[in-house]
Amino acid sequence: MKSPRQSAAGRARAAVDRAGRLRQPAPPRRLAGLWRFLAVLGPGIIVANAGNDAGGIFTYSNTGARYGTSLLWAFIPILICLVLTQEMVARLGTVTGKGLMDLIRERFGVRWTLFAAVVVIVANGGTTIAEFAGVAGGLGLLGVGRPIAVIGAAVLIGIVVLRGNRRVVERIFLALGLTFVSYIITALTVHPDWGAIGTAAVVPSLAHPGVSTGAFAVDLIALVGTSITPYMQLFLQSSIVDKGSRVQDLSLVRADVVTGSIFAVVVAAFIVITTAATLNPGGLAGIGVSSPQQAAQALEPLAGIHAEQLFALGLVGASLLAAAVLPLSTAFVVCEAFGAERSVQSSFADAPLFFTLFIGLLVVGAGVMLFPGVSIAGIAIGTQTLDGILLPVLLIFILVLANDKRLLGERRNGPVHNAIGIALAGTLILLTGVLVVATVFPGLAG
Amino acid sequence: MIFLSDFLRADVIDVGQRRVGSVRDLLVRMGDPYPVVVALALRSSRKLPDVIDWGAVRQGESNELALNVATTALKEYQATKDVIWLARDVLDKQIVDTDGRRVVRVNDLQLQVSAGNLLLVGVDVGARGLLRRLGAEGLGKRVSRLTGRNIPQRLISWDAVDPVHSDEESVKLRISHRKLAKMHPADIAEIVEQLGGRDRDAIFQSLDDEIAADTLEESSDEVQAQIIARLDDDRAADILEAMAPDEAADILGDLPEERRETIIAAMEAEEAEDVEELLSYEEDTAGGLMTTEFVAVPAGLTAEQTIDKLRELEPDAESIYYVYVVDDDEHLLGVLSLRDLIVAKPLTLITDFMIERVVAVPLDARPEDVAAVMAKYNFLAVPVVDDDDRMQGIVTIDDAMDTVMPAAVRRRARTL
Repeated sequence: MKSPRQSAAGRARAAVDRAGRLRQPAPPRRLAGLWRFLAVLGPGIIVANAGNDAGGIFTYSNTGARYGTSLLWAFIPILICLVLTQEMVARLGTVTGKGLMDLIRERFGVRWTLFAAVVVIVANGGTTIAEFAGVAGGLGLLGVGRPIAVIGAAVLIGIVVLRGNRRVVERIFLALGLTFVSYIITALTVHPDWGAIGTAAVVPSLAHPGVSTGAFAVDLIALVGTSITPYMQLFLQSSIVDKGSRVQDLSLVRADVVTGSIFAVVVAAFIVITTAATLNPGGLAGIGVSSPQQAAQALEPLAGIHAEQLFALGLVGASLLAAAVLPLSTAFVVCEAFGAERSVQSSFADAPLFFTLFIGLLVVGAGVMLFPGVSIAGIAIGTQTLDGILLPVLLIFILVLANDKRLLGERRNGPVHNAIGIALAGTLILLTGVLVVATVFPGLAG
Repeated sequence: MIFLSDFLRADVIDVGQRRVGSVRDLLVRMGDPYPVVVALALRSSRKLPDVIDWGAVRQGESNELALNVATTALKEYQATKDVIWLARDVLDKQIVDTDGRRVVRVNDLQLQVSAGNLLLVGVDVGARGLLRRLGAEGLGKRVSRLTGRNIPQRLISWDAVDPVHSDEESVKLRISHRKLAKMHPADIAEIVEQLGGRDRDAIFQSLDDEIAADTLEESSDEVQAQIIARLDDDRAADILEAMAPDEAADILGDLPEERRETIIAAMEAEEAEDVEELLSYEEDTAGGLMTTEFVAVPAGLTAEQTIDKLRELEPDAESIYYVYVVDDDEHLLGVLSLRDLIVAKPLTLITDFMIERVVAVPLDARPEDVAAVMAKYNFLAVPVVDDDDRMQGIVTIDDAMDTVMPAAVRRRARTL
């Protein structure tokens, strides 16, 4: 027996038919699958991708243009160090369920935390400046004036982060950043001398004709500093904590980190190979990248007259993503370490430190690019050197934490881990020393 | 006021006024209402015990502690399980402020002498505590005098906090979060969201299944997934069983397939079946939104019999307002409100006063449309039927609300 049902008024949005039932089935959600895939992308892969930001693109392009393929060998030790550093951080995050700054506060107390916070703010502030340089450079190639590009980007980020749906925007930027895979395709189309590249990748060379030792140290530190950034470590540990990975999943977490690191370093190496082949075909000319136009030329064999647009699109996407994430995550981890109120939903009066840091980093990041005559490539590469100089500080904190028996128990570092970690920190400190000596006494080393 | 930071690094001198070392930490025995300092951890270059009884210390200045026994007579303090190290286990850690209902970080600890004992009485969570730790409290005072703005002292009484204290060993000890467990689940959820993984584990281990389930229901989707991800299968299954099936299905739906299956396998057969049925519907439809917990009765009953049936079933708050009348094949015949049932004469047949024109939604209806129907007819719950008009479940107002609230309001801040 069918019961009579109420019939609904046709004007209502909730149109119920004579049987009293809605006759509007949900539309098929084809996009949902893609979003879900992106949502479960491992933190390791996302973080590695975030490493190929404005600073990375310019630094790698500069390396290829200035040194040809002769510095390719550096990517092997960089990969080893990147994997090991990220693994330590991922392990700390998985086992303790706490962020890196949290652990520093709990293990080392207020004074060291203040020191670490200053280092993180300076390093991330520098990187934020580099991202705005990327935004200015990318939009500049598309014909947008620098003040409009920079102020517009800062306002957009402010609104998106404080008001809008950040997740969706983040993914759009991330997808744009993926256009840098086009470097791999370009490298394959220009047919470089693969034999010579293979040799360069495994035979270490410190030759730097036409470049002073000081400048060489700067470039080398920048190369390491942009591949293994302080903020990648903070970001990786936070996302692992947020994801709630379990100790049982540690091998999966490691696989994710290794995959991400390999992907990042392969893309980086291909940027160097491509720029070496296109911008420095005659061998060691010793001239670096000084403008976005120049860097974009590397994609000409692939994209022809659209090389600048392709380069610009990727650069803007990657830079905007990082420029939004950096100030926010920096403000967040610093506030967390000091127990200060932190939430984009609070008012300024409730979370003064949080908003001061977030807005301050945005303003500084955007502000530097507003000074007339500031070189986009110079800023993007210089800040990576700063990252490289500050990385050992964070690395030492990570090493001590990863050796803490109370924190990690049986999962603390083994001797190989420590040896490589100390070697990386030592190398960077040594290079910084060379840089300082070469800057103070320019005549000392040709 | 005396603070732990005053003691840390203070010199320890022996009976002959010679410096023998400095203070590394103070140890307290947990007690009600205030923990008592029972021992002193020593940092010394000499061959002295690491931890000595507080009884060997003469009470006095906090910047210099004098021993009242010869150093040769000092013995290693034997700590019991209820003794914790203040600097190592509490200072700089996160702690739950049960009055303020939030998570704070311990910047310093306030001590007080009472009847010959040194007691832990309060937690400093303010900027003054940070400045004191940096050795810059004087500077802070000068700045505040200059600017005319006072840097507030933010102290929380020890009896209003619940230490999270999540070292591997103490998690095993299962510190009882008695104060926490008495809070409203929505408040516990908010606190849990602010804590890291291991701290969350510690809290969830101490809560019973019912409270844990309520807390989980009040948490945001992301946090739910994170919490379940870190629990072992059996415990996760226990908590999910205590939840409403639709909530449990939502959480399980967000887990990786493999993990979802092992948890469902660990659940009781009946609950597992409900959850699996709900999981088979698309998330963004009435089927995905509904719960299978509703009251359905056969047509032949009287009002009195129906009320008896309600007593027997003990339905949840969300599902008690409507009683659905169905035939043997679960076809929907009518609906009774709780009010109709109570005001009706006990012996009246329910078919005499039930509303026969039941508004229902199909399994594949969009959530927005379900919410619109409920808003239009002022329903607290709306039945969901399949293509043959058989009743499958109900969508309750709280779940429908979630779909129409602006997404930004629901989304939590923490997405780094």
